[in-house]
Amino acid sequence: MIEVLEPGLLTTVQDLGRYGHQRYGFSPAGAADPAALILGNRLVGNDPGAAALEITLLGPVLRFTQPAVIAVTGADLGAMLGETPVPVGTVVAAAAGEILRFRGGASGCRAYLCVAGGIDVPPVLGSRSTDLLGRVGGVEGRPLRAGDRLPVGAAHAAAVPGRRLRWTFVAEDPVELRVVLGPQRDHFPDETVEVLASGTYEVLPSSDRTGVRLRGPALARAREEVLSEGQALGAVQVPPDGQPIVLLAGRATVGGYPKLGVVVTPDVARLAQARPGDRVRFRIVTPEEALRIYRDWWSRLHGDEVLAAPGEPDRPIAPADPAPSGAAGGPAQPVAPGERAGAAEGAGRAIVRAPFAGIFYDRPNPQARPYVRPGDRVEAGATVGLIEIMKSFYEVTAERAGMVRAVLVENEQPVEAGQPLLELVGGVAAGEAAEDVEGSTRSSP
Amino acid sequence: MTVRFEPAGDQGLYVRFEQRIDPAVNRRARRLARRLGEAEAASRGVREAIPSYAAVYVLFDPVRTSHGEVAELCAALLGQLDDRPQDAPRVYRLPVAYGGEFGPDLDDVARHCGLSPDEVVAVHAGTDYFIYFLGFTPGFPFLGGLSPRIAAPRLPTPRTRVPAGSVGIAGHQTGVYPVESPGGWRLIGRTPVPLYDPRRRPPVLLAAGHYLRFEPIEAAAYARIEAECRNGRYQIASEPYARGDAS
Repeated sequence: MIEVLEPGLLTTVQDLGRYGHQRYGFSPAGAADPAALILGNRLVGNDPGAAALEITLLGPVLRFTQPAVIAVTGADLGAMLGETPVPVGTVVAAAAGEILRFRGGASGCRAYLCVAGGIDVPPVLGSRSTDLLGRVGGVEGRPLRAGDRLPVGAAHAAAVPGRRLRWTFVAEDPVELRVVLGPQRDHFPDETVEVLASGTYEVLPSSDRTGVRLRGPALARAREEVLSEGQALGAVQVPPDGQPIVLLAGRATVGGYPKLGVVVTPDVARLAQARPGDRVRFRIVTPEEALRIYRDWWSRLHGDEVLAAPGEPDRPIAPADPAPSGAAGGPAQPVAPGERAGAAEGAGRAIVRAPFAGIFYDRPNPQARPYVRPGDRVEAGATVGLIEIMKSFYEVTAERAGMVRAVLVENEQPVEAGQPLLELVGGVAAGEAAEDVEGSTRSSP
Repeated sequence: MTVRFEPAGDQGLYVRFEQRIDPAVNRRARRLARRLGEAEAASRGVREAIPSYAAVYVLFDPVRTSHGEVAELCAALLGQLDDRPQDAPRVYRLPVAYGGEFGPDLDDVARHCGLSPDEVVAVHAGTDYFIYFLGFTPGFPFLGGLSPRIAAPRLPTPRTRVPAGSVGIAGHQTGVYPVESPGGWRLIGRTPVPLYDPRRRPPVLLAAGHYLRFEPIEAAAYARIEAECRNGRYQIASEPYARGDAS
């Protein structure tokens, strides 16, 4: 059982949505960021679509009445179990009586608390998702309130405390949304399509689970009303004032504002992490490209590469998203252990190499100091740099302790898979041959 | 009858008929949606179909199928549709209090249409409206047959909250909001009868293919009926639809 001591800004029970009843007006609802939900469930050993808590900006205060195995995914909203920070994307064990709270975070909008066994409220029409419009599902069709008690189901697979995700979601500015034009493309003049493709839009505070309201260059409409019809997730709805609304999971099933396009599902999940003030841009793709994008995204979400067990030596993985068309270099190729070039150069020396191609950063952000400088001592697992690929950032860590002898690349330098990044010395047991240390990748909290 | 297939994002396809509010067009949309809800379509990757006035939005699993394959399936199903009218539709009689606090946009609609508020009410309540489909929120009926004399455009910016039971006009459409929700419709009245009640089986009161008639009531009757609904004692009246072509 999970007791709700404080509900937070907007916390609801969500799974992957309620389908099969939209023709009666039941919004599908479901997690606004389904990728984060799926990954969190996989971390704790649940079915990917098990019910979890969707947490918005300011999180709840929860008490676990029994021991529970949990993971927090999506945005880093400052989760704390007792006095200990809970790293995003990592399985942790909560003891009976322990309290989970959220200190807040600087970026991202929605976090997901996944519990081994799932949130076990009664399903309605086959789903535990909360439809806030129709007041259906979850806990009485409403956000959580103080005093709510949430049953937790029986865990049916071994959840592994310490298991973690291999990649993290990073707030982007602006968020690029790939969009397929239609269904009311012909209600808009050609110039409007150009405005959509070139404009930058700001997320407004009036955004909610039904849709992200944007402010930016007005999208002029050639014709007035359209007949109400079914609404797709990600539809770019254009009211008469020309300010677009991108529909999210909590949308109504039908609507009568014309829709210039529909954003692809993986990018709707990323948009769900935008907070008021964040900016978005649109990029037009074909239906065929959209299908490819979806299939790649789905297979990665359900593939083995995204999870690392504790103690498992890190190995490089393919990036989370496929390369956008035209991106230089295409998707990175993982480096197999046997392909690493260069023999050990002497006892006690280790080379940290890039696990795949991308842009190397020696510091967490442009204003910060570099992670390490020559002469610094580092612990095993310390972050020594970042590699950016496909809008995600991978932390490059030292697998062994030692002293940084040299940093071999510049900040913001493009690097190849296997390229040497840093040289470490020391920290190797006497008599042990030095060997190349593959820069380990770890999701950043 | 012309049909267009339009891809929507990465997991949707619109089947679009001639865009007009017409029971014959709608019949094809509803019947196609019904076929798409059956086992054959599900086995070919269709997850759901949402019928509307003159279109069907088809949601499919992009891992298992594609826009093109779903369009082919829809074309095949359209070729098999039965176009005979439906038997025995009913008219549901819904009590509505018009204007004042119940319909804050009635005066605006009257001004827009060049009528008095009473004339707007008389026109609105003088028609049996065909129920084309349900959507937007659970049980919300989309109705046809609104007189062009009282057509009025949506609000330029939607309200974030519309009270439950509100009766509205948007363009050439009229309808009833079953629960409080955002909306851009012009509100002319309110009904105390819940069109969706999760305690009821079935939870949704109305069904597509039948008719709805609004019957004007005063504020006192509104309060009385509202109390009866809360106590579970109110029964909505209905009668057989007597005239004209059925759905």
